[in-house]
Amino acid sequence: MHVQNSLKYRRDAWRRMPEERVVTARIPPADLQVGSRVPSARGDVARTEREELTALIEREYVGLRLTITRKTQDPELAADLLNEAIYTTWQKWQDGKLERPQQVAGYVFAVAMNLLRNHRRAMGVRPSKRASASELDALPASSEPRDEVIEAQLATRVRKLIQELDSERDRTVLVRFYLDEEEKEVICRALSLSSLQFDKVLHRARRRLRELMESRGFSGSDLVSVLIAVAMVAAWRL
Amino acid sequence: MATSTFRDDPMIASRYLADQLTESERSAYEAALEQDPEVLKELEATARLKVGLHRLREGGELEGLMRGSRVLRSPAVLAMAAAVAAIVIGLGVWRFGFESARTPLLAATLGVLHDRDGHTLPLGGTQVMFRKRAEAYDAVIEVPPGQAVTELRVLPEAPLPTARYGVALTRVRTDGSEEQLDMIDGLAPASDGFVSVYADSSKLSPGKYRLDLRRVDIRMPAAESFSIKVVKGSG
Repeated sequence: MHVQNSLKYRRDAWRRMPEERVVTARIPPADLQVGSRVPSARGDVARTEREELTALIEREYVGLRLTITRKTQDPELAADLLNEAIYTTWQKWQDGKLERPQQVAGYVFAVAMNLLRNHRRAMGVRPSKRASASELDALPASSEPRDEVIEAQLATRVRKLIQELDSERDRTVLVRFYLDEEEKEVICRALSLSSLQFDKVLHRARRRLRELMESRGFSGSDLVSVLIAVAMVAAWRL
Repeated sequence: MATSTFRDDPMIASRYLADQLTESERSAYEAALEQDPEVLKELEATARLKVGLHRLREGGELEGLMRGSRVLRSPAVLAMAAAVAAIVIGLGVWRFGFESARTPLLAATLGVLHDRDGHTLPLGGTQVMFRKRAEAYDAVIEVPPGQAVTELRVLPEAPLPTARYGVALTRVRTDGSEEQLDMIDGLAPASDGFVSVYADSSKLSPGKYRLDLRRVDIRMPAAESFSIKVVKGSG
């Protein structure tokens, strides 16, 4: 039990869990032997589906994944949080508490952001803390080499977006709101903007935001396809 | 709360990522994230925007972008710029090119520096830099052919893991006059104490330069200066 509660066990749970599920679903308890693995081709299929699903989450939601990495300042911790979120979501999906495959990705990131918030809260109350959460946000993240490349690609897209904004005022709004995370009222007061003008600036920027989504061939239907396939295989097993 | 409410709210995704929502707002938004793929899509796009902006600021590029290049794209100003460029070329002092004025020479991270088409420049080499009292130059940089990035790893006299540094690069002409080419702040030392800064080496013409390293997290810091000789690489 102690081993099963360890961080390593929880981190690997996502990768291990479906084999366990195949064991309980397909093999009568009397046929099980201690230490044996199920030499089922279906186990390979499940593993492939699992890996596809995990890869898809990682690939299509790079912005959210990198945001979590930046907020934790620790790629390994970020991966742990995301794995735990996927594990929790998978359990909910298996229990039939998520009705549609379209819900899965949203649930993963809602869980991940809550785990992150809990982590930051826990760090914030440690007596030995050295920096606040906002101070940590301001520090450059120590990224994996792969993430360095992805971030550079995102920076290229954002550079184009900024260059295409009409005025220095619009660019200032974009940076102060999205990067510096200042409140709308503060920005409006500083730049002598009405609420409507502010909303229009963001509206124009949001239209261009959708182009950022296409930077790695994003397609929501890809995720849905994989989840539907997973659901069909799970139903077939039962 | 209907998910369409969140589709129409231009601020909700950013405020969620900034942890600025109230408990009830967050609960409603997270329910919408599950129910509406469009809401999740906008959250992902917002996250990408934020990461891209962070990256541009870390690379020291954001300030220049804020000042704007939109003006440079209007036909009248482009025509004027072209005329000025022609005169400059004619006088033979066109050293760094039009792109040099638009893109930074120095960056805090690899991957920020790019060519005129927006492609990230490759790493061409690394130059370790520390004070050499017995030699004329603290470092000799061989500029590789083509456009590439040279990593300058600078060792402060008294490295401090918590310190933040700024770097300025100055060209020293043969007549002794100086021209500061670029500067960048907010650099953190690596675990080995070296402070890394990345330079677009295609913008470094052969000659003498000075690199000034100073603490930016304390008041009135003393700068440490490193003399550099840039030569053309045989590559």
